[in-house]
Amino acid sequence: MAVQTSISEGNKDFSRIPKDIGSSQKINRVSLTYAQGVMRTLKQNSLAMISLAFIAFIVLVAIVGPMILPDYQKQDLLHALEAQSGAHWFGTDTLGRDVLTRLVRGTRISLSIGFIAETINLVIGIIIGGISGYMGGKADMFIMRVIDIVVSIPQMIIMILLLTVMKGSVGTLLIALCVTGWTGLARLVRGQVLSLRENEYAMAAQVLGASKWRILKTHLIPNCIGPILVNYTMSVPGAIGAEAYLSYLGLGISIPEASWGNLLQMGTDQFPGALWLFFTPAIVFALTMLAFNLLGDGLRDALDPQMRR
Amino acid sequence: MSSGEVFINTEHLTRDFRIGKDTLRAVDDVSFELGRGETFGLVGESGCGKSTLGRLLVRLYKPTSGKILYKGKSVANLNKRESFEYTKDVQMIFQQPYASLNPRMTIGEIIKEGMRIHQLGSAKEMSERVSGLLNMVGLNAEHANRFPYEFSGGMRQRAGIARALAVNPEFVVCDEPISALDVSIQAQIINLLKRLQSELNLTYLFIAHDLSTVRYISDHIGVMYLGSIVEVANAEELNINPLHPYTQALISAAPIPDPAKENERVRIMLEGDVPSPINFGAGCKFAGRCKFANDNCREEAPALRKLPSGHAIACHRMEEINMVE
Ligand SMILES: Nc1ncnc2c1ncn2[C@@H]1O[C@H](COP(=O)(O)OP(=O)(O)OP(=O)(O)O)[C@@H](O)[C@H]1O
Ligand code: SF4
Ligand SMILES: [Mg+2]
Repeated sequence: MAVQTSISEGNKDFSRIPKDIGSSQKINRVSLTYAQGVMRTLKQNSLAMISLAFIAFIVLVAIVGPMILPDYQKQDLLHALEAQSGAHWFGTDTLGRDVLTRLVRGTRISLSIGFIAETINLVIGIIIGGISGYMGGKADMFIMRVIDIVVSIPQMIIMILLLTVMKGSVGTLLIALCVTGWTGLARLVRGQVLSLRENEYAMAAQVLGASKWRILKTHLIPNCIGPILVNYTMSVPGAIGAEAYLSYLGLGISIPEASWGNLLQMGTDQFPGALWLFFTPAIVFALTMLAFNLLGDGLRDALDPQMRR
Repeated sequence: MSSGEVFINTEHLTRDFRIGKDTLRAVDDVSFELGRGETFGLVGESGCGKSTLGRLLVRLYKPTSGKILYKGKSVANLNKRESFEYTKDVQMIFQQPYASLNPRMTIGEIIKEGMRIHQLGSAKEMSERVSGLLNMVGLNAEHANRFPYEFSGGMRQRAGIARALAVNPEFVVCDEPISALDVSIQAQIINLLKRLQSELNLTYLFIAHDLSTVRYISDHIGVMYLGSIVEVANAEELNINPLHPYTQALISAAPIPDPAKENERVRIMLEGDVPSPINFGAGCKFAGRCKFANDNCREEAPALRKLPSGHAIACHRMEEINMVE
């Protein structure tokens, strides 16, 4: 009883607010684009942000460093195999070359190979996967069989074979990395396109008379940018790792050119006599690989709609 | 209202899907016609092939056999230019408000796409037209810069309607445009579609899974069962005097708003399983659930027969059944 009274008394305090349909439909929040939403979530992930900062830093070093440092091939046999000092922050190698200078040069070479190879793979993968998924039918069958065949041969064997035939250089390494590297992305894009094209918005575009190319370009590819970006971020360290491995085996970039692979190789040759020769490139290499993977994880989480808001 | 002129019709339209080794017949020998300016309501249970029929009409799917005639001309024989025109004249409103708008585009861009494809005006004219369309469907001009995720289901459906109308279509397939919406919003969307139809002289194929949705807005209603149309009649006639046992069961299952009548309502229960649309045998597809089924029904499929009144039914025993009732 008492409760009821208080409610009816309370009611007197409320007056009806006239409902205005226009304002009730107004949205007073700033519109976030999809990319802005993803960035906002990513910013909350400190590991991913630190990784991003680290990657940005070494990319900057790789671009600017070689311009301000002395010649990375300059030998000084009188000062060979010296440990860290004021003159050589990271010591010198077997021929008295400055390790820091060579590391910076190696960073430029290794990162370039990683980024360029994966960018080529990205373009090939999107085009082939997109065509395969959207065209369907015989074209799709054919492309998928080709991919099956390429994938069934271990990638390392193809790369080693190619590099024993061709002389190791940045160009030949890129070829070796791209002959097989596009398949993963092509499969990913194909799968995405296959499921996205069943979406009603893709059908709506078709009903409006949009060409296949237009539907692919404006509706399907933009909606699989997320997974593509994650895949790219995770593939770059793969390509960098493959370069390091091949150069380490002497099949890739050879001295006097510098790369993380041949720096590591010299480091292990002189192990444990000249520890700095091994640890300097090893730490930079390991941190870079880690940073790419952490960033990729962060991106994947940020792009997952369930993880957002 | 219909002017009597046949606007779009189908002849023996059939569409199969391959499911592994089996063939699923989603639309089976469907022939029906729509007059200009009319609303044809298409009802039937989930999975009976309504969307497939709608998608055949907008040419998202190609018929396995049979044909579609648009203003008397077979759609399969259109040349390139006529084909492109068809994508302007014939539009579709979709079932799922959440999947029918590209999440990466603004509402304005979504509505503009058709105008871009068909080159309807300059950039400025298109922007103005977007504002006009948004107002027409009950949104406002500033919504053009919003993204779909900021909209409710009802607002998205309005945006989908604006997209379809942007190219000035004559015929719109509405594929269950309200079934995914809150009940409170359904009536708004129905009224909107009704208003737009009279303002723009549109012809509608209105798909729904229950009769109560279509009975008030349709001129004619077709009842679909497992890919076949089993009864077609004028909307009023179909409600008062359903002749096919399946339609009778559907109508008896629909609640009546008047409580007194609702209590008196006799429900005809549908018994038996819905047969699979894969490899069904000969005979009437409804035979397994029909209390009037006899041997003849199980052997021979009934054709759609048109009575002098225009009412059409696919049932062998139509006369006997409706004498008894
Ligand atoms: N692309 C396809 N591939 C294979 N089978 C399909 C395809 N599209 C529809 N079907 C099948 O065809 C039948 C009819 O499907 P359709 O979507 O036309 O039904 P519906 O009447 O629209 O149902 P709902 O009310 O659930 O939307 C179903 O059995 C469905 O599984
Ligand atoms: S043909 Fe026979 S089984 Fe089919 S609906 Fe009529 S009476 Fe029932
Ligand atoms: Mg459907």
